[in-house]
Amino acid sequence: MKRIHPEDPRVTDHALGELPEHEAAELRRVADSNPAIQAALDETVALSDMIRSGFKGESHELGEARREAIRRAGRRPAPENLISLQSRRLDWVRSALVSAAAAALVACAIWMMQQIPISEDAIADNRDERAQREGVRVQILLSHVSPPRRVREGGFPRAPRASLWEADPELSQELVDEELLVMRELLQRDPDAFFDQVREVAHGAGMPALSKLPLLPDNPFIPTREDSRSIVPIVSGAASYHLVNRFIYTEKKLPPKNGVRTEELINHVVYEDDGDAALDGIKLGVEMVRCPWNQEAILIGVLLQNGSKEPITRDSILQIEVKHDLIRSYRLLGYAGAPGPREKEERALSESLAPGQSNYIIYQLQLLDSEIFREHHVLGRIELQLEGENDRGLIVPITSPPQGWGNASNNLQTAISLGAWGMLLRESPFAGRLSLKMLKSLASDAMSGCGDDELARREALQLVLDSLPFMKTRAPVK
Amino acid sequence: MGQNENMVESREQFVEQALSQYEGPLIGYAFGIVHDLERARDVVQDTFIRLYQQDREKVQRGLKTWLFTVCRNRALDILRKEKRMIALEDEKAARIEGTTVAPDRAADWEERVAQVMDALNRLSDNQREVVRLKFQQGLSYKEISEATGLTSGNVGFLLHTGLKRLRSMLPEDLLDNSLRK
Repeated sequence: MKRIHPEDPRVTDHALGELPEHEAAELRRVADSNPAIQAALDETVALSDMIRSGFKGESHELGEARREAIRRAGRRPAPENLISLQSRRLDWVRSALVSAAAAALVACAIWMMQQIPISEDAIADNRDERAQREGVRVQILLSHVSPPRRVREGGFPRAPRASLWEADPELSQELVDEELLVMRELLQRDPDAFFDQVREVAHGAGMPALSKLPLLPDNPFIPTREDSRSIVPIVSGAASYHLVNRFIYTEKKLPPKNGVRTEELINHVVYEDDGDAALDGIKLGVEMVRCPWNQEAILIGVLLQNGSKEPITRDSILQIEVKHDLIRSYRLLGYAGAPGPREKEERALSESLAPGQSNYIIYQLQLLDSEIFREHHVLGRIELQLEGENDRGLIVPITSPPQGWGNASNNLQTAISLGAWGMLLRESPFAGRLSLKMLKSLASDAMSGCGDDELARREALQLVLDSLPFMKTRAPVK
Repeated sequence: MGQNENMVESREQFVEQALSQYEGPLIGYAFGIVHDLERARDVVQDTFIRLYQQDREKVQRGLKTWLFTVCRNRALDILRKEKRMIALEDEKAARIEGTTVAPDRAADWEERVAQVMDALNRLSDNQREVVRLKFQQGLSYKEISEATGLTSGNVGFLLHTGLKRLRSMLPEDLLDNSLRK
């Protein structure tokens, strides 16, 4: 057990009865000889007692009218239950109608006339809902939707990337959550049935089985003498992250290498900063650090944020250009199997970065001159040319010296940790001296710099740490 | 009595029991999300109507987690549909201000508990939510994780930082008095 101090989260875990027994015994032993830890434990227990007592004093009731509405709804056939809230609000009308005997017949006739369109609507609604549920389930099984998000402080849950609501704005969060619950329950109760469904849905969508996907090669180093300019991808997905998450936490094993896409692990997290240059809400920033797994190289992180109201699309081009007299070669992390420069350009043109989204890209640069680690040099530049605006765009220089790992922003530390994780999961030939121990250190550093409210980031880094035991006894599925 | 009637009766008993046990805690929980008592009651009413529609066998075992999960989803759905944030009302803010007890005043147990609960209202939404699930409902980290979609690690982190922040908001001698109680 690592050294314990009074502010250690394990003290809280222990006070709340959540620490595993072997760690609890060790903590008790330490607390016996350390008054500060014992005091922290006592305080947490005392505070817990007071909170429990406070909640006991709380008294909230639905009221008899609402309870009766629930009972009434329970006695009705299921479809009617769904409109019980509206009917509750109209309860006062009912007694008036009953007392007006002359109006009863008219009301009845109106009611009968109303039934025809309502009934047809109801059938159509049911059909729509079934289709919606089917669509949502396919999306969930193919991991295009994130699990329900927490409400951010004083705000709303963050919509999943590649949001279902972009395709269907009428889609209810509740429906998505219900389907997630159903799938989660199935996964817990009968994992085989769950994965049968995944295979069936993937087959129906024309996707090959995961194990049959070819392992796309990592991008190689490009010598700057051959090509010193390259198109930078402006979008990436996030599906691979959910796949890895599912394998680690549910199947308790590593995902197949060919299912891991490094750029999708990196971009599961949303990145925000002030950028080095901005135009109409679009921000571009570059940050540099010495490469942890190759001390002769540097890593640069490029963050493109679209804070405008329009997508960055079509003719907009993001490109990197490096100086061949300072940089020997460069390599893009992730985007395995990326096409050649010309095709790459065509592909970049066909994709767009939606408003509110960001994309983080990491390049590894091999240097020609070690002076770069100490002196100021302009190594190249990142340039964004916006669609149809030849004279407008953003340019950010790439300047040395690189900062040390400890001084890097949490964005860069997180992106590099996730990128390094992807390289190890894929058993990349470019991992250099990157080891599990180094990965643990990188991810732990990034975790310690996370803000309290950055839960998605913390979860991603925790997943990195939780996957380490599986990587030690490497046994990926075939 | 026919089989169907028996089923209806046992279903009613099942929901009645759940109502008497979880009605209050669920309203408190929903209130923490929607910040409006009537809306919170709407959410809880709808949650129990949904319970009626469930296969009893399937939900019975994990009933508590199921109720809090559905209640949470309904509350979040309301927020999403309304597309607006509901800030703490002035009245509530005034209540928080009004019940704060001076540190040097000898407070009895109830007063000190009231201070703790008022400080609780000043935690972030997500901290307050896990504190409620932990201390009001006695859910484990794992159960809270299932209800909220957070990882167990994050649940522990939120509780740790939440309790730490609570301690920092309370008078220094408040917990000392409790320890001596």
